Amino acid sequence: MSLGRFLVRRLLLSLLVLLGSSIMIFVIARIIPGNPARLALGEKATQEAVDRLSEEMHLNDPWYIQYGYWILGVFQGDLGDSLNTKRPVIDDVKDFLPATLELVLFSSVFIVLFAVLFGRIATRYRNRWPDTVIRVCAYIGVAMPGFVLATLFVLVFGAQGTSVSVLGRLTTGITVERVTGFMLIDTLLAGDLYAFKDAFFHLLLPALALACAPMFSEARIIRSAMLDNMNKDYLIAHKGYGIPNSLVMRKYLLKPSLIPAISTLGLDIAALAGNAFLVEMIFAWPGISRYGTQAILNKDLNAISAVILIFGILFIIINIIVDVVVSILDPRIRLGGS
Amino acid sequence: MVEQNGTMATIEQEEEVVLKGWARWKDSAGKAWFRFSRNKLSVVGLLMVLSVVIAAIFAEHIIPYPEHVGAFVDFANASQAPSADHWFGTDTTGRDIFSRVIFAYREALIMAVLVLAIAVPVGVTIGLFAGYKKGSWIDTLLMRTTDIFLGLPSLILAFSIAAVLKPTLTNCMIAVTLTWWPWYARMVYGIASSARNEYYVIGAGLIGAKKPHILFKEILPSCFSPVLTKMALDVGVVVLISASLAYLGLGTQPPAPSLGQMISSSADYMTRYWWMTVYPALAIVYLILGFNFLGDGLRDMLSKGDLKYG
Repeated sequence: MSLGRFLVRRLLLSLLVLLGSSIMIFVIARIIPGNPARLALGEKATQEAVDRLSEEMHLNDPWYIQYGYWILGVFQGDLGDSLNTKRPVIDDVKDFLPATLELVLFSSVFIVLFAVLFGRIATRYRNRWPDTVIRVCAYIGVAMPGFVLATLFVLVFGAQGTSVSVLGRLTTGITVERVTGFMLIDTLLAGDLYAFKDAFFHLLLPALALACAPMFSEARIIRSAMLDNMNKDYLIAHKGYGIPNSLVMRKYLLKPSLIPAISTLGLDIAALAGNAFLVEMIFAWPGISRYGTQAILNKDLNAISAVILIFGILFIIINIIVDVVVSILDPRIRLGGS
Repeated sequence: MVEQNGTMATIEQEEEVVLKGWARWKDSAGKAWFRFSRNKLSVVGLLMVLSVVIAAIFAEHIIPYPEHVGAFVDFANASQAPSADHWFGTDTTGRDIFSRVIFAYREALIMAVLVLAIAVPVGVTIGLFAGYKKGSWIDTLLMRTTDIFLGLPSLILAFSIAAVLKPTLTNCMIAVTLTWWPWYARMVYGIASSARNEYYVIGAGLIGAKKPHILFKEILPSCFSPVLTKMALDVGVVVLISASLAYLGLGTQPPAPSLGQMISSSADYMTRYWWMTVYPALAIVYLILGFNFLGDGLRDMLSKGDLKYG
């Protein structure tokens, strides 16, 4: 199977899964006890107004027709109004999504860079103290909830009366014109290096809080894959040809050893998105997860469905990227065609 | 000593092939313990898990201040640092944190056990059927449904389900269970769909074994060890997710103690009263570490392959 056909097949399957997920999201948003129209208007609204809104929201129709209206709206970019902010949900999403994307992308970069670095260190010094330190960190990372780590970070780095500078995306007083919504890019576009530095340091801690746990467990996966591959015949042959050891390590050992780590990276980033719900709240990070948390706590149905839908789409995109990268690294997976 | 018994049993088995009843059980238990205890961390994990389970079961008899578990107020002793009277200190209303942590263990374990007790049989059965009927419409229907559940990040799904329901322990449990079964379905599906082509399964079909027999007596046993290992590891993850839910206020409601909610309610005072946050956090780490070590040990014990030395 060629890469193109593999990709098309994968995309179609994902579309199917996404459609199924949308039905599930719809069902979740509708199992809430009580009339959504009544919830939207509040306790004091007259029965007449509630009836009118029910008719407008198609609440009197069977569920599949309601779903039809909802999904049609989704395709047109209409996700309904938020009860919380009293604005169209789609506008809220446009405001808050870039902050979360920036955070998740930044911590993914952290995960990849440090996982490879630590994985190689652990392989090179296996069963010696650097390996042990990484192993202990991996165990603690698995056992330590993300929100605990975030709370500790805020406490430790915000302790010396600088607690404010840890929270949010920029120090109050610094303003940057919003172009892309990605603070690092916006500050560079504005040519404001001081603001760029400020934004970078604000990004650093929450991204680290998110990246710490997956970073070390990925390093462990890379380590065990490298040790497994180390005694394979092709590697011994390469050494026999007289290729320098460092080149063998970097080029021929690392590449196949990354495959299992990349396969789990998709799941790690999904977990990251989930943890972002708590970490964004702790760091007062104005992203979609914090918006989602507020929506969840206020039972803001349209916003909740929108947030789950966005994370579903994100998750699927990440998984496709992971599949493509893995199939480039290991063509057997693609050619096997299952 | 025990390790020696294990090796002895291995040698004995080679000499006399047939062992029956008690002797046979003792022999396999000895071998299992030998495999399990090769890694010292597994034994540590087992001890950690046992301590948590015993503490949770006998919580009322262990904790020094049983009345502090509910809505108890004693402002005279509020916000006390850890001392001989209060090992983990007291919270802002004067309740003993040690007592509350032990009681929260009970809640966390009940939740984990119930979630797995529902999610594992459901997931395993679905995976088993879909794997055995690989390629039929049953397979497509079941596994695409599983994919849909796996298509959304489970923590977010659990948050949302818990959000639209009333925030209680039961609903929190429902939310986590709904996101949990697909992992088992996916895992068992992989094993079952390859086992159906093994000769012992085909053979059983040829001599006229009924379908339930093939599914549950022939294929199911080969799923046993990966499922058990995953369960041990999952107890930790379920505890973590339920702590996250409680942190957002979507789990157990105060005044009942839960680890996540103890951390969230005390995080604001952390600079002054570190013990209110640190001890519940350490309690979570202890529990999850224990189950992880235990899970690794079970994997060593149950894996059919060669023992990995060192």
